[in-house]
Amino acid sequence: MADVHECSKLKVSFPEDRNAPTVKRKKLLFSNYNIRKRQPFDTRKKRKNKDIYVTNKTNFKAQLRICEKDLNNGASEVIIHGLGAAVERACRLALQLRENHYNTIELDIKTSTVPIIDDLEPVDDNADYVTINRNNSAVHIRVFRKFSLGTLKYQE
Amino acid sequence: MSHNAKRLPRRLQEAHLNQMTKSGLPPKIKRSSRRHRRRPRNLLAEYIRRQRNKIWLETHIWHAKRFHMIEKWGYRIASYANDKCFKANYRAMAKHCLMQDISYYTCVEINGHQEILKETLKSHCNPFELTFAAKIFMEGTREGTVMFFKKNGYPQFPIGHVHFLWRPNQSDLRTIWIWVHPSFLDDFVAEIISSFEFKRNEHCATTSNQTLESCLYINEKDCKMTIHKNTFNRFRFYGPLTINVLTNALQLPNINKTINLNLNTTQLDNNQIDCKKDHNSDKSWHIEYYDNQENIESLKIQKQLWQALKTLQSPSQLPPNVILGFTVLDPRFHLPDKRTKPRKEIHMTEIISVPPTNANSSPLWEQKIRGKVSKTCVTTSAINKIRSQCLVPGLNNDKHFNEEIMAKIPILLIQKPGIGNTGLGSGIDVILPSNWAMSFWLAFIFRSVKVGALRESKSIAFECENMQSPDINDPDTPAYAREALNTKLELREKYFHYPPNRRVNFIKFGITSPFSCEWNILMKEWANTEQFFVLRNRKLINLLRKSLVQENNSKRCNKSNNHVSSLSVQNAFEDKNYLIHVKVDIIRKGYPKRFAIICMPINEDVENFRVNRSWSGPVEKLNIDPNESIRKISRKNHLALLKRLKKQRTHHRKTLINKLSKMLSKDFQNFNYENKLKNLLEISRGAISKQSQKMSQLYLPECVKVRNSCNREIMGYITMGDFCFTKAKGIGFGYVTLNSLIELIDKKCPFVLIRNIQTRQYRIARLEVVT
Repeated sequence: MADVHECSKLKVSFPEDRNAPTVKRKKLLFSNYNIRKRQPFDTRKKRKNKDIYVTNKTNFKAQLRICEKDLNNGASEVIIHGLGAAVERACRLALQLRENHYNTIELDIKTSTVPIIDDLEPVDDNADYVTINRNNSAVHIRVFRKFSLGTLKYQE
Repeated sequence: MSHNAKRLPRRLQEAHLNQMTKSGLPPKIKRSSRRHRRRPRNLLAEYIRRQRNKIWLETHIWHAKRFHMIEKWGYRIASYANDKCFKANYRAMAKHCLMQDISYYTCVEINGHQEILKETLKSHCNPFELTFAAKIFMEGTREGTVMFFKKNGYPQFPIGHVHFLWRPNQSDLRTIWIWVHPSFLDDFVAEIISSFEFKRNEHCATTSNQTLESCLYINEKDCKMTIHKNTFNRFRFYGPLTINVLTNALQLPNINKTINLNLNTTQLDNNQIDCKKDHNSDKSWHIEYYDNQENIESLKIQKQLWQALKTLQSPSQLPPNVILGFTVLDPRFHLPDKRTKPRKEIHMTEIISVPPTNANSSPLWEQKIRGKVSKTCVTTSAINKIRSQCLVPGLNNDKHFNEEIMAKIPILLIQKPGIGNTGLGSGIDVILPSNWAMSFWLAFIFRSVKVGALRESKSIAFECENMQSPDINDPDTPAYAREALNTKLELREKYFHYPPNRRVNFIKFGITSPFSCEWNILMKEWANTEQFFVLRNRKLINLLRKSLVQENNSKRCNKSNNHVSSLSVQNAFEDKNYLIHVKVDIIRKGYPKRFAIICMPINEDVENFRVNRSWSGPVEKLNIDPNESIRKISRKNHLALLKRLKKQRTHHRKTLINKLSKMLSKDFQNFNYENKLKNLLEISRGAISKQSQKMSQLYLPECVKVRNSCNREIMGYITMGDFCFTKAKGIGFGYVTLNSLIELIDKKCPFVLIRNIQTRQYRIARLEVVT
């Protein structure tokens, strides 16, 4: 298991010439704003059908089943992504997968930092937009088979 | 004998035709052959004939071949695709790219002094929220969406949601574009005219043919209004691949270079193509425009921005509602050989956290340039002809493939934010000058874009829970009333097309208004007034939402705290005739549909819900239909009457023949008899139509009561509901009356009951107040 931390390659090419970005999150009165979140700026390569994004809302067992389905259908590897609060869940999912497969699968863990932007839309006429730039940690777990054994796994 | 003379032997044909003309029957006009009809000139004439009483969008013919077209709002609009797949559109919206032609939105341009515009437009908005004059929109960097009211009408008399954008970089005389949905365009224009005191400018019609559709209004305070119908095209893109598609299909010109080379090229290319020569001055609008230092500055920024745009993964990574102006090359020169899906490897992302300054200025705002650009749209065949002269075909480096030949088109991109951090429903609107729609459309199609139509506008708004969309009208708007009346008549007609034993008996189900929502009656029964308005005050909505949530989690909350809030809920409202916009999501089974009723549960239901986990709702008892026996008797009598009339007719005919043979000489009498026969026929026809009216009245009696029409008390109606793909369960949007909601909060009931019109089964659902 190799733990590698990678920071996504980013460039801020349009310098923010207004006083907005230095605002601290806690100082704002949130009742005056509507929060609009943008999609996280995740720069990792996306491959079709291999990536599984873990959320805290989806049922844990359902996520487990999705991973197992992929693994059993001959996929050599599955990549589990967890962002922020879902990091814990992603780890739990990977460990559970390994346990279910009697330790025949390996985990390759990478962590990264993902920049996130929240836009706060004002409610009244005189205020301006506020953008909050923050970073969040993410985990990307590559789950792969050591040996290609058929479907050797714990059956429910 | 046949009417078709050609069915006879040749030798008899002439005689037959003579006979036919003698007897007064004109020989039928032959439909011209398909070959003749499809000749370009005849085809064009036919198209013009068909457009006489409605407007076609520029992509009409493309759509008409693939979509079901309907006539709506004076346009002929694509309604839904002819392929049977519905979910594919959702998939395209969520994972790929979905495109819609929404050129039927009309752009209303108002020029004038900033203060006057601000003041007057502000009086049409909700003063407690963002208005036309908000600081964030005034710079023209973002597009806004507001609910438009009658002048000083808030909280009453709403008209509909409109999008608007201010023209950037202007001093005191400002220009605003308001994009209005055609369903309430007339209301909107009437309101604007009355509040600005506009007068129609007479000599605008004589200016030229181009401004035929756009009419000009002026007033004493130097304000001008132009209604641009058909001067813009607006395409809407949804989905994460939008950015890829746009950056792949459109290319920026290298204008700096062209300006320098300008002098040389005009001399060198004297032997250029003839068809383009006469447009040369129009074509080079960009040389004039980009002579200005300020414009060159913005061009540089836009170029930089375009590179940054290429690195993004989804339109939701752009600043929300940002407007970006670009000048692009004619997309027909960059078509791929085959329909291909654009892909790219992302190595680096450039973050655009705030809208860059100067990126939104665009020559599209200038009417002259717009006119020139629209005029310079050469036909595709002309382009192909030029390029076919090259020795090696299909290469991008032939001498005709240079930027001087390609037309430059100014466009505007407008970002639309999606929901949450998944960016679902985020998209980009592209605004183009007229005439260019088809070439851009095809260029996008070649990038494997799925095309949606009118049905998708609503379904996407539903999936994304975007209630600020102009496609959805609140029940207190005039547009809703018109739409509701139409659907009611349509569904009623459809209902009576079924045979009687296939019609749902709504009386037995206790549904009094199956094809419409009777808000007036509902409000009268809950609040004693027929007038109703949708609550749009954010503070009050938040108060209601909080008290509802507390009541749902009453186990965790302190009871004392709960009590206080519910008291304040009752005191907070002065008028009680409000409708509250709510969202319901089904807890266990089923999904709500249009016109479903939202009901208040009784104590027994609450007990059942608490005890039995798999219980998914009570069942309405079968009501008695008092009209059933009346219908039966009336049908019987009616049939008997028809039989009797038929007998009378045959009897008269027989006597007529008998008497004719007897009194051949007395001609005048048989005239009388024929009259009588006619009368009899008319009587029977009248009886039939009267009977059908009576029966329809007995099947669907007029709605008089709503609240207590079935076992549970009715709080409101669902206006839009279905299975939601994003939530993977049944979701519905509707309105409930304020009094009923307060009662529900007082009862501390954790759910409501939903029942579709075609069933007796109630379903349990969670209620949530929508902002």
